[in-house]
Amino acid sequence: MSALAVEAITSRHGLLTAVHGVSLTIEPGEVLAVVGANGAGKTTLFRTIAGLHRPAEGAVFLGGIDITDVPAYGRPHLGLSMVPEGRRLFTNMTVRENIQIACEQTGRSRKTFGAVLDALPVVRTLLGKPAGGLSGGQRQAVAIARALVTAPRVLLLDEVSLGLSPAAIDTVYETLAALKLGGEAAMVVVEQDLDRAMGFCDRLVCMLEGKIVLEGKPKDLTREEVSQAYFGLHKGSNAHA
Amino acid sequence: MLTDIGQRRERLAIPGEAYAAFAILALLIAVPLFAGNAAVDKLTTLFVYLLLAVMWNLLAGYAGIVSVGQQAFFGLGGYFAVRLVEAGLPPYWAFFVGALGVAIVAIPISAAILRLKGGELAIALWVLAEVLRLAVMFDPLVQGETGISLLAMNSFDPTFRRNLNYWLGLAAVSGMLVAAYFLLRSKIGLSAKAIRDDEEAAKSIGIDAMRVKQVFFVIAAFGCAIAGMIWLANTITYQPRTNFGIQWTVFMLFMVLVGGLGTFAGPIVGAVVFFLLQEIFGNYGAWYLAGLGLIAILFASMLPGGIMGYVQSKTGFVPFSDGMTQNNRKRP
Repeated sequence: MSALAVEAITSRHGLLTAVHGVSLTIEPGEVLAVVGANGAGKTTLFRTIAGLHRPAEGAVFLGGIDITDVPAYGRPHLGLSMVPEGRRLFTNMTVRENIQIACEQTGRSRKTFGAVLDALPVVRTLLGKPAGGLSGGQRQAVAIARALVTAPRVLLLDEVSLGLSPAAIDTVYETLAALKLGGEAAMVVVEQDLDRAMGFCDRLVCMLEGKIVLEGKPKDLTREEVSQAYFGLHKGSNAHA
Repeated sequence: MLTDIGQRRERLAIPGEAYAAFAILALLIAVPLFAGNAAVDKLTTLFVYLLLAVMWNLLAGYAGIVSVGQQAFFGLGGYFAVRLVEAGLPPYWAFFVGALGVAIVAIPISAAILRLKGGELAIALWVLAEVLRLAVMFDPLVQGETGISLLAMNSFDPTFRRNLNYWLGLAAVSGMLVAAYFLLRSKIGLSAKAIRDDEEAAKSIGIDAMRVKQVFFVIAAFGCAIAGMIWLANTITYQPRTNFGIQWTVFMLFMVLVGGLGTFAGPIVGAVVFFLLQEIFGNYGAWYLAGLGLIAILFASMLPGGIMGYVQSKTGFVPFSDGMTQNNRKRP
């Protein structure tokens, strides 16, 4: 059974249809990268999966259960967690409090809290610091820890490298790689950086104008193919909506 | 509570603060035994201001709900009391039942109105207060803008009534402060602070933002209704234009802004400052109001954290901490 399945999702912003009948599945432990230029519909798709945007049509299944009508706050309890674009920490709290509150809300134990700190040692050094005073890379690490502490079956990460320095991006992806090797959780990574996405994921989908125009494993795709799909220069044979 | 995870949050109130609070409470309880009628009346008014400031701080400072329509519940509380007394309930029972009634009415209101955010929410609450005021004015008992006197209160000896109002006000303020203190240290209080910082991020970690905001909204409505009851018990007259007046929300905003938004002690300090300003300069009419406006502007631009925010940033002293890290708090 797939960890997450999206079936013929259509999402609109008023009269604008941002996602047109997109379907995809993610297997347990798999890392799926969703790439595309600005306005391709990646973030709308991400927000629809997370429950922050109600789809006009289609359904979202988590472990075979239809969660389309489950509100956003109910999804972490079922095992679907997200790291939103821009990190969005609770800036008036410390790092510890940011993670504690997520741990508490989903009823996870102190053991889970400790395990996440073991997986993300950099976060352990930041626990007492105000979240509002962290660097971009540190914030991203804390945002990932905050999502991980809910013990997700599927982890959604939106634009993890956006606004970070190259060094910080390296650190974030090293962290994600360690998580990928060690866990059962599937990951959906929305990313604009093609090279990062291709180097990290097990499978990649490229979106253009609200549709998936290219899908495949990185080893089966060339950089040129992905670039052409990314910019809409050539709507490849792998395309499907 | 977060008791089983990692390092503990700060302990409950530092004993020194608790002892000081009990000493002040004991002194205040005894005031009617040695103070004159005027002092008792004025302190009852201060309790009304304290209640309003604490309730508005709960809403805006902790749950991120900026309301400019809290006068709706202040006025509605008084109206319910008038109606219940008319129906035959003894006045002081009517006050209590009326406040509970306001809290019940606030539940469906919150379910509808809290779907709005920011400016839209603020305006909707203001409109709600005006609609309620107009609706109350249509009641023949209230006689439009003329209002009504709560004649049943005249059955009590004036001194007894004055003292009883005072003690009820003191009990209401103490009770709501204790309730707010424990609410803010609870799981739901922590959730509210997360929502205030970033509602979408709060939802993403499993917080039911609507439910949390509803809890704060209903508690604040109840507190404002109690304040409206105490005001009515003291003045005896009920006039929709006065009891539903926007000035009540302006007072709340001023007190919280001056005292310190999002700090536990801020609204207490703000209410005392406002009370003193009113006592000293209240007879200067328009100049007094202009002065209040100037003070509000000065605080908003030069001291956005209010008096307690300034004290906390300079000394690290956080009286009656709400359990969260406060020294790093940015002022909204």
